[in-house]
Amino acid sequence: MKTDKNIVDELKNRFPGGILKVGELREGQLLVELRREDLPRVMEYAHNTLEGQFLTMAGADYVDSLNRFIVDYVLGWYEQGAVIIFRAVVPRGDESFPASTPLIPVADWYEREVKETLGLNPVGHPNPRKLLTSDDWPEDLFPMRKGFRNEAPPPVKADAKFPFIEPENAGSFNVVPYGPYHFAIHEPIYFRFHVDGERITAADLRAGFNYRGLEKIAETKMSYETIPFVAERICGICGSVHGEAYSQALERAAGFETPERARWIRAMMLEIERIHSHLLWLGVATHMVGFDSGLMQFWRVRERIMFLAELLTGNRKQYGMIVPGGVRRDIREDKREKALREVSEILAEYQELLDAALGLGTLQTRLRGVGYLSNEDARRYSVMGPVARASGVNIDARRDYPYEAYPHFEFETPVQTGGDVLARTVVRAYDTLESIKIVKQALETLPDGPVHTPIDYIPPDVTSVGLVEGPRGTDVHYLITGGEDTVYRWRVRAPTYANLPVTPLMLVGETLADATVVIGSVDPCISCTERMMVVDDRTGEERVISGQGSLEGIK
Amino acid sequence: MNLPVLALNLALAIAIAPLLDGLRRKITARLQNRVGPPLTQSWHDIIKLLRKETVLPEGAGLMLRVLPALMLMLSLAMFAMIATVTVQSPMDEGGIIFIELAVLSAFMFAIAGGMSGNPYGVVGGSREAILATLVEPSIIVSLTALLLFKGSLTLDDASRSLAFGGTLVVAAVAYLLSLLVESGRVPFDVAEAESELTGGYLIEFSGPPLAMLKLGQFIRATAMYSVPKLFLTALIPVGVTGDAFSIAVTALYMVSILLCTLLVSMAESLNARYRLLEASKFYAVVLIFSLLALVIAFYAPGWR
Repeated sequence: MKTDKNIVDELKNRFPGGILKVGELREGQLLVELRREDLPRVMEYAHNTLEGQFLTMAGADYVDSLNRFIVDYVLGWYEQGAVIIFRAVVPRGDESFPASTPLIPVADWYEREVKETLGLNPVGHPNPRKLLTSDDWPEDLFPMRKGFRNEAPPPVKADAKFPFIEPENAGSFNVVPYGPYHFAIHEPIYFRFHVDGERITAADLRAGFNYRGLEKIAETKMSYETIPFVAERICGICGSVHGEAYSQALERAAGFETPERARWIRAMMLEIERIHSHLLWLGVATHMVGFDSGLMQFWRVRERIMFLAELLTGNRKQYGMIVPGGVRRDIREDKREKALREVSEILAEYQELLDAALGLGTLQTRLRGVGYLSNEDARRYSVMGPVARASGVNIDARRDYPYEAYPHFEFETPVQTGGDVLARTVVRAYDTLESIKIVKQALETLPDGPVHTPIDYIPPDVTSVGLVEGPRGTDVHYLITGGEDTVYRWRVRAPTYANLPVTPLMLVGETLADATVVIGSVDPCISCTERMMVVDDRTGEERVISGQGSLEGIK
Repeated sequence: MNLPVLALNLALAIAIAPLLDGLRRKITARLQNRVGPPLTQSWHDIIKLLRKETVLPEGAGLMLRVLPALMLMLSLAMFAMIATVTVQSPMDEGGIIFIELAVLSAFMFAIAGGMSGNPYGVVGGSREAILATLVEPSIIVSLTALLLFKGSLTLDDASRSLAFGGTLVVAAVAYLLSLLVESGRVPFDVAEAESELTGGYLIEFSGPPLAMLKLGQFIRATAMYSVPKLFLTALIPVGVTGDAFSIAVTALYMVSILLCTLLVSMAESLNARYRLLEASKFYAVVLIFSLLALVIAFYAPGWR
């Protein structure tokens, strides 16, 4: 088995002179400094040959102190539990770096975001369109630079229009706008389909309608203590995941050990959130294909989970539990016992519903074979969570980057090889079952002790990465600590940011009838992501789809 | 033309059609562990829509403006050709016209979608046209088998040559299966398909025109739900005549529309939406089945 040191050694052999320095960050995370011009080649080798998962990328502005910028690419090797940050320095005056996107398309959005928010130009980027900011946002105003103040509204550019990509033979096709507000996708996202009859021949995508600049607000207006509450409000569904990822990154930077009881409660909250999120998705997905009884039944069970969350935290959603140093509220013994009884009932009820719903013929017909994502594409685009696991990529941060109390629980990670919407449904359905079991174990084995101890000291200028397996995949928070009780740079990479760029791949060749459920099948969370646009025009390409095996284990 | 019966039929159609839709919503809700809206909800919806403003797409033609009213009138006209709670139908020998009106109004929705100028409306309209092309033959064939069997062109219970027989059973089953499409509900709501086409052919209609279209839809469905009564009267023993027969017919009419509503609700709550292709396959089978009724009616008189 390769260790992270092996990975670095291989890179050193392959690129002599390209690697300037290797340093160890907290808890085994490595920082590898590269020559700027070697970035694309090293990234390609690390991602394609050494099979690292692309986790996140961020730039930071050090102009005031060091007269330079940095760009960091973060790759993860799940099997080895390794995280390596590749860093290149971009000097002031020459604000550019060679783009990796031509070699690894997964970097597309990330590099565009750096261009748009920091003004560092990815030279050679094939698709340097806007990603996040509105059409009339000035091209030379970079919100994540330290000099940018977000008090006053910026001057707007007149007559701004977004350059949608037109297929070469556009004349013969109809254009169907899907969004920015569509009945079935309840968040603003704009797909532009070219259709031939009902078949989609090309899909273009515009996002950014929800960009709120939360990271900037955190850097300029918030303290370490208050950021978790903003982090939790990044997403209305998986808030705790963001709170946990932020707290994890911060505690890692501070070298802080969370009290044992808090670790159990944190894992419990994350799993309760996963159950509610997956049940929500299962309900919405069945509604998308017109099976409203499924929606009602899945949400009936989900309601019990909402009550459970309320019992334990006082809130149905946005629990406000996870803060740096531990959790905010303890769980009383009588509540623990009540919750335990409740969980056992939910488990039985859910199992029964699952067998009935997934066995339904018309539902299977609608889900099987649509929205296919091959194993190669899943790796190439480093997709996360259930989308990856439905295409046979066996990654799960709970198991591979153990955090909180997870090493003490027994659970399985469902993996399917079908690659279609049905496989994604099955993965989520069984994920939910495992999560209910984890909550049960956590309640049964909850240790005694304090739930919160303050963090005494957070050293400045430490880079660390927090990884949390959320319902939609691994949530990555990249953090550089600052000197004055707040973060210097905080970059949130929600899992949908990794999953959404592949939806055009899944959509081309499908019919309009299936578009909704295909887009829905990545469980997109636009408010988490807010970024995007990819075009694929693989018209007429045939694919062999094996939906077989997806339903194994149901009966 | 029997005017008192016609007046009764029309009043019944307008009053009862939205209530039947309310009942469908109620049954569906109960099957989904919901309380559901009150029975009168569909009436409230229509009244609300009537009070709202009309917004038409730019460049909407005359056709788009008159279409909802036309649709409503076509649906109402169906009630002139069929016996409901009465033994007599308002118009004699209207069976063929009933079939034609049923087919015509199905295609009216397709035209509504096509003329909306909205991509979703166009797709919804074309889906409706394809579906109607597939389903209407089954309706035509099963109703023709019924008329052949009765030996008259009137959709009533006065010419009581009806007795229980093979044609009747086969035609009734084929008719009921076609009815699922006529209802426009899941699994055959492909032309509206809220989560796919955001309303399909209805997308550009609003206010009073939408109210008229919806009411037309409900009335048309109720007219279709009225037909199974004619199959059911075959179950009344031959000896029953006079007032007793009239009461039995009225009761069977109620049974007929309630049964159809129940059937549609059940299909709606136990299925996901079909794609157009799967719906087509389903109706190929139904068409063959309904042709069987015709074959029996013609060539195997002994079986009837």
